[in-house]
Amino acid sequence: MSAELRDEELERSFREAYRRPVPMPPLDEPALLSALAAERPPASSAGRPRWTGGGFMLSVPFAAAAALLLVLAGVLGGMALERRVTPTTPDSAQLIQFALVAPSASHVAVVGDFNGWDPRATPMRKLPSGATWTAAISVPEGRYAYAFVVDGRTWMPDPTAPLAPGDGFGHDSSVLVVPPGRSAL
Amino acid sequence: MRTIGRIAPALALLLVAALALLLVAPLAHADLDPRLKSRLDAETATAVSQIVAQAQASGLPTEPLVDKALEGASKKASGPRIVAAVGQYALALAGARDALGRESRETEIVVGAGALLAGVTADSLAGLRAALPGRSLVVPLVVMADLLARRVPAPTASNAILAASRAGVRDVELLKLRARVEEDIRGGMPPGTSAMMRGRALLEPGGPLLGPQSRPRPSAP
Repeated sequence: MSAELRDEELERSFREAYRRPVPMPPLDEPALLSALAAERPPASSAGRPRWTGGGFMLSVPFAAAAALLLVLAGVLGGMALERRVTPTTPDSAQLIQFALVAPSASHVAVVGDFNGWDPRATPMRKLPSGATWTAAISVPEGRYAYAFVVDGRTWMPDPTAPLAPGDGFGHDSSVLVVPPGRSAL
Repeated sequence: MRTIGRIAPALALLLVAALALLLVAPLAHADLDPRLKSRLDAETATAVSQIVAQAQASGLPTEPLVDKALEGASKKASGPRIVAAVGQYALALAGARDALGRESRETEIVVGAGALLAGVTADSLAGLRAALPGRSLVVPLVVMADLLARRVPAPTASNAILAASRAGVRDVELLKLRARVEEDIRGGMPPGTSAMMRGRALLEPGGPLLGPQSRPRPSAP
């Protein structure tokens, strides 16, 4: 006989043994109920629910306090990191004048590395002559890519400045270099 | 009651894990540059931040990478395209620093990265550095990248700028060269022809772009 068959035989015998009715004493219901009523809950859990398991114990107030501390640490840590990554502006900035001849445009903005490429950051003003748009921005030393946005949809490089290499997004840009303490290119 | 007693520790651990997540999530979010957070979707901002963090750990300039991501956002590029552009830029910054030397200024590395992205070879960058030790390479590299952006073949642009720089041509004259090439191209001349012709003219004594103070000096050996 194989080991598997022996196991099956053994299992069947166990099943039959446990399924046999077991004689029980008659239930004295009133006595049982009065015994239960006399039972008192353990003092440690009275009015203070706890989670327990082996040596581990965590009360609700403790968990709440820990949660509060964790959230507080997260908020403070976040604020600290927020301050750390905030960009700073060097003092050695130069005023750079941008100009674009666009007589038929109704709105022109200059965007670039110096203003986060935000078309709302630096709108240009139309000169009384009616053809040229200008804007002046204080820009620190460095190399900047920039472009003009005409009427909110047409991107164009500065025709008077060096071209920046492919921007990776399908629009040409120009390059502005602000050397330390000298006029920009 | 026994069942509750068994699962209570697990629930407690679950609660602590959830609280830990609550703690970590704001920290991870706060680690992002606020400009990226406000302009990019969360997935793109996180991917860009990882590239920026790697660049920072390698000692590379990081502001240009953030600017590149913001540029992509303004140009309404997709998230993957922005991440790809920022990644390429980070690689170019590393390549430029390797070619130009670790002592190079940040602006030189940024301009060098632009030149590499335009098609200038790392050897050309290294050659330029070797030809001009101690001199700023910003203008020569900006002009080189501009010529490539105007479809001047890379070897022609590199040779023209390298020869002019070796001959001691000043930055202002290199910028004039760029403007002349642009005019020529607008007038219908092939970009390569214009760059070659203007480069040679720059090196001729008494040429149209040379002033009395910028006579070419003998080439470095």
